[in-house]
Amino acid sequence: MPEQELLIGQEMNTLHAGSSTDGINVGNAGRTRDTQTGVEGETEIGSDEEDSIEDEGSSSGGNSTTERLVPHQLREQAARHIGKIGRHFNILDRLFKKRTQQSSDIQQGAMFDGVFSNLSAKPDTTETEGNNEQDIPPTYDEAAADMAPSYYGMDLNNSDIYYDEICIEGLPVGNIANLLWNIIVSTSFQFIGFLITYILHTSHAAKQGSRFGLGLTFIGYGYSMIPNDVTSKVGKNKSLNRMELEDPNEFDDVRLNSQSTTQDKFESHLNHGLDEEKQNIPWLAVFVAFLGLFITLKSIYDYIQVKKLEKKYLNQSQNQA
Amino acid sequence: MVNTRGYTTLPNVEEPANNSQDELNSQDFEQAIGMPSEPPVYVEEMGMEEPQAPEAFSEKVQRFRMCFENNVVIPVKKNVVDPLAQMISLASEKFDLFLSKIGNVMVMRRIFYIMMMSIIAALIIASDRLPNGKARGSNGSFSDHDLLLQYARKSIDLSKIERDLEYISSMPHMSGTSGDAAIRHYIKESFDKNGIRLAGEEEFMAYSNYPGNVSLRVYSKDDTEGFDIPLNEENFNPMSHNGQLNNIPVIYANKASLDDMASMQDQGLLNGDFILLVHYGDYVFQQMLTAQEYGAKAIIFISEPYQDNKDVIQMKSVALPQYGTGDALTPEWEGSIRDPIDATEAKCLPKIPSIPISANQGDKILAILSDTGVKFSNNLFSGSLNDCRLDLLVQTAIRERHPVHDIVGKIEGSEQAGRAIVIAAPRNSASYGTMYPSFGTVVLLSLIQLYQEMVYKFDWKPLRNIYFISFGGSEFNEAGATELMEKRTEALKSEIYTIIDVGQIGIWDDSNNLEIQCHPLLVDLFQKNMTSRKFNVKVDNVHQFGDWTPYLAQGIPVAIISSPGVMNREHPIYTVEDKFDFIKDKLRDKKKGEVLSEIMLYLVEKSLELIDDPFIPFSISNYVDFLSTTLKDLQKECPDTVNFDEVFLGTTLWENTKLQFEKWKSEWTELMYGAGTYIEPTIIAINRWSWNYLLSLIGVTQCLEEGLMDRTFYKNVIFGPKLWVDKGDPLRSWTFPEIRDTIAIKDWSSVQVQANTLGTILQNTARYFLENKNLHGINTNEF
Repeated sequence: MPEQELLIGQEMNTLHAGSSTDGINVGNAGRTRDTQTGVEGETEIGSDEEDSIEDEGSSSGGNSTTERLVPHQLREQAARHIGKIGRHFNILDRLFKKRTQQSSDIQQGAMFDGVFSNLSAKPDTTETEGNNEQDIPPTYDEAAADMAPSYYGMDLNNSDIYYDEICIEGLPVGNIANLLWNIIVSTSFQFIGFLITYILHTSHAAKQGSRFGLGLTFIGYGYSMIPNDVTSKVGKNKSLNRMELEDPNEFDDVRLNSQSTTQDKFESHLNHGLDEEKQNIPWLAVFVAFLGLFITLKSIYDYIQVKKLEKKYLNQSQNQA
Repeated sequence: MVNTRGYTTLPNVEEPANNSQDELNSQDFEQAIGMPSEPPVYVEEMGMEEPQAPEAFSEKVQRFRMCFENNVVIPVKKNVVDPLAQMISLASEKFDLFLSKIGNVMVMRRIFYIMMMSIIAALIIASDRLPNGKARGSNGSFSDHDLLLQYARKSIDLSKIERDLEYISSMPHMSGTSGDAAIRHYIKESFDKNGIRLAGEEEFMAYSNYPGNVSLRVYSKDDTEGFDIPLNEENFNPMSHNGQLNNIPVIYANKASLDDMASMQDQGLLNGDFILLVHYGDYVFQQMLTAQEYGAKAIIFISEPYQDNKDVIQMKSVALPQYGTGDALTPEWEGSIRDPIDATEAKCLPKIPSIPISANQGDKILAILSDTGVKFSNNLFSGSLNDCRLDLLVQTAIRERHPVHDIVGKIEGSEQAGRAIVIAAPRNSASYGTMYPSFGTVVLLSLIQLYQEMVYKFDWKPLRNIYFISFGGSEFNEAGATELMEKRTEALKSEIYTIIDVGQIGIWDDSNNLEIQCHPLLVDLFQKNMTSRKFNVKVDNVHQFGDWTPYLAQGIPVAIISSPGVMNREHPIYTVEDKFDFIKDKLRDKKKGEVLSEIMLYLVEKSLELIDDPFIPFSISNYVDFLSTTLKDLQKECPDTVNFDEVFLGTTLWENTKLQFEKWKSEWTELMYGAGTYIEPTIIAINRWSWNYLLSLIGVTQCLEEGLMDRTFYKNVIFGPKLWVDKGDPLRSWTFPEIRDTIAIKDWSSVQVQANTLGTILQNTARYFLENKNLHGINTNEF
């Protein structure tokens, strides 16, 4: 047990050392060689290989150094010049950055796995012989006899539905088109439209659109239940202008303004018939109308909330990337 | 080497992010550094400038803020908001736990929401407050007339009838006077207050005259001084001729019937110049025409006494509608199209002056006449030309171009808005006109209110349009109604398929009878379902002139709803005694009120059937039977040399048309009501509209474009007045007028020509009907 722990610690140190080494040596080939040599010397693994490398290196290095003093200096100058030009244009770095950004934009959902997505790619460097044995492909008979496991493809099926989608409460957010389309269907087909769109919704936008339509439908119901105000529209209780003229037989100047007029004060006491009093709006109509209004406003509010959450997650994933 | 190059890109990406993070951190640090330095500076400045006031104000603000926060905000947060939030979250968690036991939380939450909303919707629908389409009819179903009529029965407003009648009859309102302007204003305001759309107030220029100077001086035999009979503006006949006569003999002629006039002529009493003294007969225009034909210089009408009052004067119009109605100077056209003719050429204007006098005034003249000459049925003698002479001056105020107004209101239809009926009433009267025509106007206004109450109560729309028209100028030879027809002839002929005149309705006599003069197509409509009425209905042919005459002349079916007393213009109609005080007791009588309510409901029911039945309720069967029967009777009046084969071929074709229509209608009824769906398929509706279109054209297609001979205003060859009408025999006087006029003078060759023309018309219209019933390619034989 203690030996295994020590081995794991050494591996971690190796990884960290590798990354730091790469960062430091950007843009300078000569320095890279020197540091790489140093790193290799520090590690305990493969001492035999080190010896062999040292022997070869020393012999070849000595020859090159002694024979080409002048070319070495020229190499350094050329490298510096090339580095300057490279920094000035910096074409490849720009391309790589853009590509990286594009990939991060496309697969924002995948970034949530964090560091654990790299576990499957970790090589097993402790047992070289074991690796060699595992790399041997199986024979035809063995491959033919091997059956696919029952769980094969389940992950793909699961990831197909909401691949690369940010799910909140198990549903993707959806976009404005989903919202508007569901509003149209839910409103046009009244309550049945709401049933269809709500049962079959697959996103928050569709859900809130369906609710919005239901709210409008209820508002319509409430408006329909308001009784027809017959009294104020039919002139049953309205008084008319009953002018009495001084000379009704005037036939050459018939303008009503040209004569003095008085009002006819006659009152009738006969039966008015059914006197439709103005009916109050029933409480059910008011309740249904306000319920519809509440549902409508809440659907908009919920959609805005979900959109805000989505934005938060997007910003978080971008920062991590 | 490849791996090495790949690794070099990653640090480039990471470094800028780190730098940005460092920068953000440094900014935060800088802000933190800057914070402590600001407050001391501000505090010092404020302290240095104004030590007292700013500190006090800021302290007050801080104190208030602290107090509010301590006393209101914090307690509310602790006691209300936080517990409420905790309760909500706890309830939500428990609810989710409950749902998770049943099934998947997301799915169950969705189902729960749907069930809750379904329950709410079910409660809303079960409350029965949502408007149902039963009364109004929609989406292939038709409105429920029983429901509409029940509501109309409850809504009849007798108080409005009394108020309207009191006002409209409170002043004389002759056409073109201030009184008419006031009444017109009242009617338009009533339209507006009831929410009906005013389709227009049409103004036409027409020949009018008004009371002016009249004088009458009587000279008995051998008396050179004579005596005056005092006259006033009541001694006035609308449309009378102006004139002055001096020293002309006067002859009494009873009612100037043709027989009486012939007797007088045989005795030589009508030679030379003379003035006729007559009692008003049933047809004033007939008396006027007779007097003209026999060469009278003037005519004086004696009014009937009213109860014990012998001073009343009946102011009846003396126009000659047999030649045509409307503006005398623009026969057959509306004034703006062509120039008017001269008044002397107008056929419908009388050629001799006339005045009405009261019974007392008439007795003064009759007392002077001797008991010689012809003895009449009323035991009076005609006298002789030597008995009495008169000086007569008639000088009415003639206005050849004076405005006449119609008021038109409209309720828009929903299905066939190109088809309409008209409910009309005359408006104008030379006197107060309570019983006629003011009561007709009141009935019209009440009908409008009843219809509008149905419209607003049930959001109901009729299948076809309704027009409500108040006609003006009725005393000037139906000027308002006729000029409207002449101005819009083609539009009205294509749109209007029935005119109902309600102007002659009344409850003034003791018999509860309604006399309905109508086209045979409408007989079934008015006669059916009469067992439960409180009044009797008698249906007859049209035998009267009125505002409906120009429409009858163009072939449009008309229906005149009358009570017998008003139809016969019994007293005190046309007199100044026709006042509200006279009839208000009857109006307030309970039984009369019930009869009036029943009549109003009857009008609503029949007009409702006309505009809202899926089929226009025309009875082709009655029409065909009427044609056959009347033509056979007509044939008997002619010798055998006159051939009626063409005519009877036409009636045979119409018989086939009747069978085709009845077959399709029975199949339609079976489809609609036999299957129990009560919903009409669209393609069947289109075919029904075609039949309705053809039904509405039956009358107007059976007309002569050039009109009758010598009376070109009348274009209807089947219905219309003869030149000499006989009240005792309405059927013979008002059907096939041209043929009957020709039979009267025994011109058999002309009768043959006219009979052939009639036959051609009947055949062409029947073929048109049969050929066009498949307007949209639907053949009735396929059902």
